[in-house]
Amino acid sequence: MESVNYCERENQKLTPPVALLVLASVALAVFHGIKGDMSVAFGNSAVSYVIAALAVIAGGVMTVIAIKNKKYLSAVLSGVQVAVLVCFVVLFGSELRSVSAITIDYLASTVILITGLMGAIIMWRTGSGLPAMISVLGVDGLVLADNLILMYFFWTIITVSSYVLIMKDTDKAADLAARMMEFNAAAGLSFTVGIIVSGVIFETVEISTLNLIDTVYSDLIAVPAIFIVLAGIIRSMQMPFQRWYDGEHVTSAGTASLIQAVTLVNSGMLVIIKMAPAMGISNFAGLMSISAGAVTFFMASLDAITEGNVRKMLADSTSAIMGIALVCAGIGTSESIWAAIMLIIFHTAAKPLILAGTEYQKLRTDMVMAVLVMMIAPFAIVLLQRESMGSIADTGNILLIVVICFSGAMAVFYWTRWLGTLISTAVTEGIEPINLKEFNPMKANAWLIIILVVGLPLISIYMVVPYMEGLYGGMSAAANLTDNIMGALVISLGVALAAYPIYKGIRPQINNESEDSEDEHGQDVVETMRQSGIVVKVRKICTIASAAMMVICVGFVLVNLIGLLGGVL
Amino acid sequence: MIIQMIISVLAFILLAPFIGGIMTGISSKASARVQGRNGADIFQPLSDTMALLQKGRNENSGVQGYYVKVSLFFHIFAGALFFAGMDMLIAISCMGLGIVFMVLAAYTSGTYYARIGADRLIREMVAAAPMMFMAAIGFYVYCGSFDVRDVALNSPVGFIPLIGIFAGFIISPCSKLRKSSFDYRMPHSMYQRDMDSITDAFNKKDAALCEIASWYEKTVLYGFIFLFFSNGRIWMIPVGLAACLIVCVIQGILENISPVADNKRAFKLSWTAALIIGVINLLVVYIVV
Repeated sequence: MESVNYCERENQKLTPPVALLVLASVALAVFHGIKGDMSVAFGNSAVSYVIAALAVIAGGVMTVIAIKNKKYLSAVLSGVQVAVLVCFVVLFGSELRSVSAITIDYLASTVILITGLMGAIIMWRTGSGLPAMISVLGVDGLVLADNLILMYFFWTIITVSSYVLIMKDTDKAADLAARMMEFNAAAGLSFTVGIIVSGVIFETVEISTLNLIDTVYSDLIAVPAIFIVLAGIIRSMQMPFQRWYDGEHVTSAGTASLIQAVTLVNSGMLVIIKMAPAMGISNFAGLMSISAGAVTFFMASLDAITEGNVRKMLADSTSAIMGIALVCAGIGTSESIWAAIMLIIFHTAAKPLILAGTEYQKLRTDMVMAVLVMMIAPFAIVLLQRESMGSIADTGNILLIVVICFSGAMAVFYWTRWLGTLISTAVTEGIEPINLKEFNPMKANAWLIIILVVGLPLISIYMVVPYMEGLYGGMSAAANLTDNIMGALVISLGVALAAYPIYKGIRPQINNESEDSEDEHGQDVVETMRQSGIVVKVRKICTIASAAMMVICVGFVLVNLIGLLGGVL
Repeated sequence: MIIQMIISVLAFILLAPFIGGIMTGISSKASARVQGRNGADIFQPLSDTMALLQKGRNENSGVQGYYVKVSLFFHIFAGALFFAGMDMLIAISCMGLGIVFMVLAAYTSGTYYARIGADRLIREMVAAAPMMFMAAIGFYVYCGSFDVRDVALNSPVGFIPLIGIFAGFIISPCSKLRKSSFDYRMPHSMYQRDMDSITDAFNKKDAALCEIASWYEKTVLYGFIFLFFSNGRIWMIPVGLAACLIVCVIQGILENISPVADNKRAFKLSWTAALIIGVINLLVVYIVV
């Protein structure tokens, strides 16, 4: 039934809003490319109040939705953040200095370009309208905003639109949507606390200013940063909080999960990446994200190995990729932030294509290609990229290195096995070759991935490295990032060579024998793991470890905070 | 500099199959001696494969032949990068890609035994992966660079400080050097001769190419072992080569003293080795350096 639906949806016409979204995203990127970095400041305090009002309204909408659906926990959580925000603006609003409320930098233009294109492709394919559009625009606003209150507004908008999307998507959605709402309301609360701490202590709510202060007082900046990072961690489904996403992936592979792979999950990581310069191995915000990310990468890879359900495995792989990106962002050197951004770009482009591919009865060429990209990208960008691996090794955190080594091995395991299964399906049942004549969303997505893979060095040199230069000043930080063409070459070669026969269309072969006892021999290690229940134990340990690390980090920061407030008051 | 690079790459491409083949021969000779047999000539694997290649000269293979060739290409590419003195991480990743393509070739051949072989091949790669990563990180921490050239020429001998990683490198991937009952790829050992593993459905030429790819990979791995002993001085070269030979013989003996080790146990062993020896060694190196 579902696949029939999708065949119909495949023939969707390109609607004007979708075309407009593409045009606007490209135009903004081109504009930024010509004009360079820009920031808009609102010296007028009235504008600050307007921004605050917007944020309060968005929070209010979230509260109202929660009350309407009788979800009282999320209602309380979101109600509290609105109330706190109102108090904060009334009491301290006049003291906030605005230096730059909106900033267009290379990070913003890159993310807007990729999110806009992918959002348009998904909307084109699924025929979804306003909520998806709002979600995409929310991410655009989030990366453009430098003002934390404005950011909170977009953050909340993404939550609300995701809620609406999930509710629309399936019958069983109410529970999932409620769970999503609870976690995101908690994330919003953490975000609000971050805003308030930053406003009260540093008298600013702007990230660029916070990053500037970081160069002098690295420890102090962890105090507001840790709450904002915590919000991002919850949203990008890291370890103690990762459970809200799995079920949703399984029951709906429709618009909601497609668009959320592009917007909701990414937005959490983008906030962390924007805060990343303020983090590092010596401050608690950085430590927290490194530990949460490493634990998640480990656990999600383990889960993905033992998981039989493809969509659950995809959810786990999203967790894993976000985990390693979180580790990179937490380390906070220019090389590692570079890796985090590149990972986000590739994940954004490839994941929706894989998700969409799981819906078809017959295996699709473009899906196999996307799987290949997802498989090679983390290795070529982080694990086997000299710069990022170097910065991981330079932390001197032996536990982190061990976890990364083993999780990397497990990631190899599940991706290779999955790819092998796909290929053997292609051999036994045939594969749908790419039809060159018609142009549909899937193919647009495939082309986007091809462009990304082939253009990786160019994207790195012209879009991501300039951002690092802007953050860390001059060529010194980013000079050694430009010579990573070798890794890119390996990715492109691998993908191209593997995809060639698939692109030609593999013919089913005659000599396939019975496959019924595949599991008996093929997967004994996995089977042992599954039966011995070791995964459950490890998951418990990981959850406790990650949660404990968070409690410790937040605890230290709170002690710091109390000390600071004692000084202020 | 560049000329030196080109020469060493060319030398690798031309000589590696012979080195790998002879090493295989030596190791099987050692294992035969342990069993009290005389054993075949050390050039036997070479001549076997040459014969296969000759016989299968005119054979036409489909998709799996293509993937086998791609796999061979990546193994050669990895070795070329390694012996040109470039980034060892990229060499490792190319080696990994080579194995991935071998897995794909086995999967596309569509038979049951080939699929078992492929699954085992994946597990072999996974069993060895943590140790490979740790070795690279160990070199980075001790020598300050991921470049093979810097590690080989411009830094002191890494054997003593990295001895744990070296041991792990031998124990954990016995598999990696295609030894012991952890050898999935092709039936080198007598215990697995009843099952043709991944070359099951390959034709003669592909099977030969598969063998040659594994020799290239072996040579790169022996290169890694050599790296532990290299400091750019001439007199360390024989020491390194002797170490490679000793490792080769040790592996032949290890294969014989562990005839009942199934791959589950081997997997456990290699991860435990990586977890204990590798981690302790890395810790020590961090403290020392």
